[in-house]
Amino acid sequence: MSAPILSALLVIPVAGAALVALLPRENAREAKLAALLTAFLTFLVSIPLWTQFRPGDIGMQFVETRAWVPALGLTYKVGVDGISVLLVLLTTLLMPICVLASWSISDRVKDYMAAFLILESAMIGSFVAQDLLLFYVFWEAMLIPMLLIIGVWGGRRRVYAALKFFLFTVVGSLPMFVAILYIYFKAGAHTFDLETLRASLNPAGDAPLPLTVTAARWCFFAFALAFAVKVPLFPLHTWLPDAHVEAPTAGSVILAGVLLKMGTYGLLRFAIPIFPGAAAEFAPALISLAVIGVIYGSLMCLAQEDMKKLIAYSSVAHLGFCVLGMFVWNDKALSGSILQMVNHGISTGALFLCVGVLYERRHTRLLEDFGGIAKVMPWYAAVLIIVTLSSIGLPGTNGFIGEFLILLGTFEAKKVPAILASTGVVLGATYMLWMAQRVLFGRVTHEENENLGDLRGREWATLLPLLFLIFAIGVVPNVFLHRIAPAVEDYNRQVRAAIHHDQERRAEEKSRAEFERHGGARK
Amino acid sequence: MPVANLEWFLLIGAFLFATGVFTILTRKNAVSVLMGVELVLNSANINLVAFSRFVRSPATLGPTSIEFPLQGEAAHHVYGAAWIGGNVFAAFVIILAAAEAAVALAIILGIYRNLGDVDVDEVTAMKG
Amino acid sequence: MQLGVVENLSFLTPEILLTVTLGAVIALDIGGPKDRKGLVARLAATGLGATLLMVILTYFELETKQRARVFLFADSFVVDPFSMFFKLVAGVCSFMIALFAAKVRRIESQGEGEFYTLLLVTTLGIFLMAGVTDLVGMVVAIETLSIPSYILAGFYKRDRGSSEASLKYVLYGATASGSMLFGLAFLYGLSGTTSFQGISAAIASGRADVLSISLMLGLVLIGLGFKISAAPFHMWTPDVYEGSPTAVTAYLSTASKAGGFAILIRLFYSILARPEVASRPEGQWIPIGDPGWTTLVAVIAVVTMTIGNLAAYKQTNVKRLLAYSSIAHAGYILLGFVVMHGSGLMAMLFYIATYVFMNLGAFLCVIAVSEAGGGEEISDFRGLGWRAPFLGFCMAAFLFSLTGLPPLAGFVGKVYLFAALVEHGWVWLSVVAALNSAVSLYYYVRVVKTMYLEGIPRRAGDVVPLRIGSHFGIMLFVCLVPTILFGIYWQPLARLATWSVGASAPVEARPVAAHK
Repeated sequence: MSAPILSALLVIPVAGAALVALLPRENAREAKLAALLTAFLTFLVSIPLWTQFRPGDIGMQFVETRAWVPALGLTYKVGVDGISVLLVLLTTLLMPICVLASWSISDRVKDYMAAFLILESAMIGSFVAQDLLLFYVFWEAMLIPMLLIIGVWGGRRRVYAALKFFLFTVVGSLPMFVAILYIYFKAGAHTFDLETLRASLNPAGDAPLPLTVTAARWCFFAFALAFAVKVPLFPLHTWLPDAHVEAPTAGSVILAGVLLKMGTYGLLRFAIPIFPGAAAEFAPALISLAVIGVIYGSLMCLAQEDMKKLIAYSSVAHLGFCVLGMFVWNDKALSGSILQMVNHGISTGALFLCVGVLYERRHTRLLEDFGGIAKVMPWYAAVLIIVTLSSIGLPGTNGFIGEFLILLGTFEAKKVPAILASTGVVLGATYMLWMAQRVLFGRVTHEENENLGDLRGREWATLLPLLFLIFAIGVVPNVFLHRIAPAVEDYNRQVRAAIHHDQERRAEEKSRAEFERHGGARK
Repeated sequence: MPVANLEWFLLIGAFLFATGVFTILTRKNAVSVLMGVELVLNSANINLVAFSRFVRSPATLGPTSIEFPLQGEAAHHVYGAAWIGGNVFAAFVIILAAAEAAVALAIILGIYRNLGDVDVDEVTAMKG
Repeated sequence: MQLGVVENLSFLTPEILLTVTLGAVIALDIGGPKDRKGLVARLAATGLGATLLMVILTYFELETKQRARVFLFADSFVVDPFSMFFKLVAGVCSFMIALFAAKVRRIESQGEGEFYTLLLVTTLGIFLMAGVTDLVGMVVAIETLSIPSYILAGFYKRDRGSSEASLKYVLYGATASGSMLFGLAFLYGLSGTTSFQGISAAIASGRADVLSISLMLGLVLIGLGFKISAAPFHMWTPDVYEGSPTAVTAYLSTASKAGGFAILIRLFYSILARPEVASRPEGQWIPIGDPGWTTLVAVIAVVTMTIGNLAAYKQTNVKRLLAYSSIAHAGYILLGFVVMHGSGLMAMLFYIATYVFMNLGAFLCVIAVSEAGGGEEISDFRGLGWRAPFLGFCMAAFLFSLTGLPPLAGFVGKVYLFAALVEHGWVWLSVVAALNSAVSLYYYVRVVKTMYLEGIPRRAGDVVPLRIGSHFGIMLFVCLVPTILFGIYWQPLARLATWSVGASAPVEARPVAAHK
C-alpha cells in the first residue's frame, strides 16, 4: 500500500496549527515562519498527487479507508480523481502564498496563522472525503476559521460581513444535513459511503427506485441549495461582495481561490451523481441562474468603485460559467468547467494579491484613488496586465482554455445559453480592461501615488508561481486536461446513462400506475 | 342517607383541586398561592385514600367499578401493594407536602426580608 | 433467579456511598473544626468521585453478569443499564459542580456545609429517579430532588435575584408536583396498583381504560414537563436560571434535567408502550392503545424548541440566554421520545450525555468569568477571546457544540436524533428541528461574535488579561475534552447508549411464580 498522502495532507496543517498556537504570543515572526513551513511542507507532500496520479485510471486514487463509527456505517474514506486532484493541488499551492501574503499582519499573528492552517485541513478534507458525513464535517469545519479570518482581521464592516457569510452558509447547508440522513435510510445500505449510496439510490436494471420523484427533487434541492450558496449562484450571492471587501487579502485569495470551488465541486461530486434524475429536471433552472449570474455579475462589475468588490462580482460571473458547463452534460463543457475552477482560483487569487499590494501601500482600494500607477510601478503594471488578461481569457493564458471549452461544449448542447453567456465574455473584457486602465494608465492624479515602491521580493514570491501557472495552463493545457478528461468522460457517461435510466424508469412506473388505475376502473 | 361511595370522594377531591388551582392562579400573595398548592396536594391525598378504601372491596365500587379478575394468592402477587398502597402513598404525600411547605415558607420569609413584600406580582426583577 | 438481600444490596453501592457521604458532610459541618476551610468541599467531592466509580463498577457488573436488570424493594426499584446511564450522567454533573463550587467565594461565605449537603441530597434524588418503577417511589425521588433544589436556587440569601428565583421555583414547582400527584392518584385508582408494570398489566388486561390513563398521564406530564422545562411549563426556567447561583443553574440545567428525562422515558414507555421483543435490543416499541400521545409529545417538542430559540434571540444576559437555549434543547431531546423506537431512545441518551458536557462547560465559563471579576451580561464578554484565550476557546467550542456544528459532540447528538426521526417517518419533524438549529445559530454566534470580533485589542499592550486560575482552567478542559472527542470519535459512547437502551425494557412483569 502506498503512503497515506491524503491523510498526511489533512494532519500536517492541523499539527502545524497546534504548534503555532502553542508558541508564546510575543513570537510573531516565529509563528509566521512555522505557518509558512507547514504550508510549504503540505505543498511538498501533495506533489506526488501530481507526479504519481495515473490519468488514465478511472475512479478514485490514493484511496484510504478506515472504519470510523461502524455502528453508523461511517467510514473514514478519502480519495481523489481527475475532478478533484487539481483542486487539492490548487489548495496546497495557494496556502503558502496566502501565508506569505499575510506577512504584514501584525496583530494576533499566531491566531491568524492557526486559523488559516485549520482552514487548509478542512478544505482539503472537503475535496477528498468520499463519505457523505465525513464531507459534511469538513464542510462545516471550514466555516469557523473563515468566520474568524474575516471577522477579526477584516476591514471596517468585518463583523457584519463575517456573520453574513457564516449564517448564509450554515442555514443553506442544514437542509442538506437532513437530506443526507434521509437518503442514508432510503438507500438502505447502512452506509454514508458516497459510491455505495449512489449505486443503491440509482439501481441498475429493474430494481425498485428507493426514492420517489418528489423525494428526489427535494433532496436534490436541499443539496443544490447548500452548494449554490457557496458557489455563489445568483440570487444567493449577496454575501460574497461583503465578505470579499472586508476580508484581509489572504482571506480573499482563499475565499475566491478555494472556498467558492467547494460549491461547484459539491454540485459535481454529490448533488448530480446521487440524484441524476432530479438534476436533469433542475438543469434548465440552474443553467438559467448561471447565465443570469454571468450577465448580472458582469454588469455589476461595471458599476463598482471598489476594486475588491469588482473582483468579487467578477467571481460571480466566472463561477456562473463553471455551473453552466456542468449542467449541459457535455464532455468539453465539463472539462472546461473543472479547468475554469482552477483557473479562477489562480487568476482571481492573483488579482486579489495585486489589489493587496496596492492596498498595503495606499490603504485604499477605490479606483478613483489611483491612476498612472504604471509610471511609478512598471513591474507591478506588467503583472496586473497579465493577470487581467488571464481573467478575461486572452488566448495564451489559462482563462482562454477554460471559458472557450465551456462555451464550445455548451454551444454543442444548448445554443441559447451559450450565446447569452458569451456576452459575459465581452462584458468581462470591458470591465477588467477598464479597471486596469483606470488604475495603471493616464496621469498620476494623486500626489501620494508618486513615490510608491515597485514589487518587493515577498510580493514577487507570491505572484510568480501564479504567473507561471497562468502561462503554463494557457500554453500547454493538455498537461492539465489529460488528467481531467478521462474522469470527465467517465463521469458524464455515467450521469447521462443514469439520467436516461431514471427517466425511463419513471416513465415506466407512471404508465404502469396509469394502466393499473384504468385496469382497476374496468374491474 | 346516601351511601358514601367512590364518586363522592372523587368529587370532593376534584373540587379541592379546582379550588387549589383557582387560588394559585388568582392570588397575588405568595402565602395564599402556597395555600392553593396545599389544597391541590390534599386533593390528591383524598383521592388516594378513597381509592385505597374502595379498591379493597371491588363489590362496593359502583359504576366506576374496577374489576379484579384474579383472586386470592395470585391477586396478592399481581396487585401486590394495592390493598394498602393508597394509604402508604398518601402518608408519603403528607410528609412531602409538609417538607415542601416548610421550605416554601422559609423562602417566602427570605423574600420578605429582602424585599419587604410577598406579592408575587412585585417580585419581578428579572424579565424577558 | 432470586438473589440474597445482601447480594441485591450490592447493586445499590452508589446510593449507599452517596448517603454515607451525605452523613459525613453533615457531621463534619456540625462537629468539625472551625477552620476547616474547603474541607467539606473536598469531602463531598471525594464522596461523589467514589460514587461515580461505584456507578461505573456496577455498570460493569451488570454487563459481566449478563444481567439485564435487578429488582429491589418489592419491585419498586430497578438497577438496569438504563438507570446506570443516568446515574453516570448525574454523577459526573454533581462531581463537576462540587469541584467547581469549591472555588466560588460566595458559596464558601454562605456556608459550604449546607451547599454540599443539599447538592448530595439532590444527587441522591436523581439516582432514585433513574431507578424507580413505582408511583410512590417516583414521587419520593422527584421531591428528594426538588425540595433541596428550591433551597439551592435561593442559596444567596441576601441576593434579590436569588431569592426571587427560589420563590418562583418553589411556587411553580409545588404547583407542578401537585398536578402530577393528582394525576398519579388517579393512575393508582384506575389500575389498582402503584407499580409501573402493574399499571401496564392493568391496561393490557383491559381492567383499566387506556384513554383515562392517558388523560391522567397528561397531568403527570405537567410535573415532568416542569422538570425538563418543556413548553408550556417552561415559564420558570429563565428567571430561575438567571437568578440562581450559577453553579446551581448549571446543575439544574444538566443533572436535574437528565433525571427528569430518565423518569419520563421510564414512566411513559413502561405504561403506554411495550417493546417488540423480537427486535431487541434496538427495537421497535409498540404504543398501547391510542398512539396519539406521540403526536402530542411531538407538538410539545416543536413548541418547546421554537419558544426557546425565539426567546433566546433578544437576551442580553448570558445565563438567561443559556436558560432559553436549555429549553430549546429539551425540545430537541424530546424528539427522540416520539419515534417509539430504540434508536430514538438511544439518540436521547446520547444527546443527554453530550449535552451535559457542553452545557455544563458553558455555565462553568460563566462562573469562571464572574469569579475573575467579569459580569454575566453578553456585553461583559466583549473581547473575552483575547483577554482569556483558553476560556474564550472553550466557550466558543461549547456554544458551537450547542449549535450542533461539526466536529463537536452536539453535532453527533443531532445526527442520531435526526437520523432516528428520519428513519421512522418523522421527516417534517426533522426539518422543523433543522430550521430551529438555524435559528439557534444566530444567538450562539452572537456570543462568539462578542467574544472574538468585538473589543479586539489592536496592540499587544491593549490586552487586559482575565486570569481565571488553574482550577477553573482544568475543569473547563475536562468539559472540553468530551465535547471535542465525542465529535470526532463517539463509537464507545454510542455503544454505551445503545446497550443502556437495549436492556431498558422495564415492562415485563416478573412471572408470579417467581415470588414463591
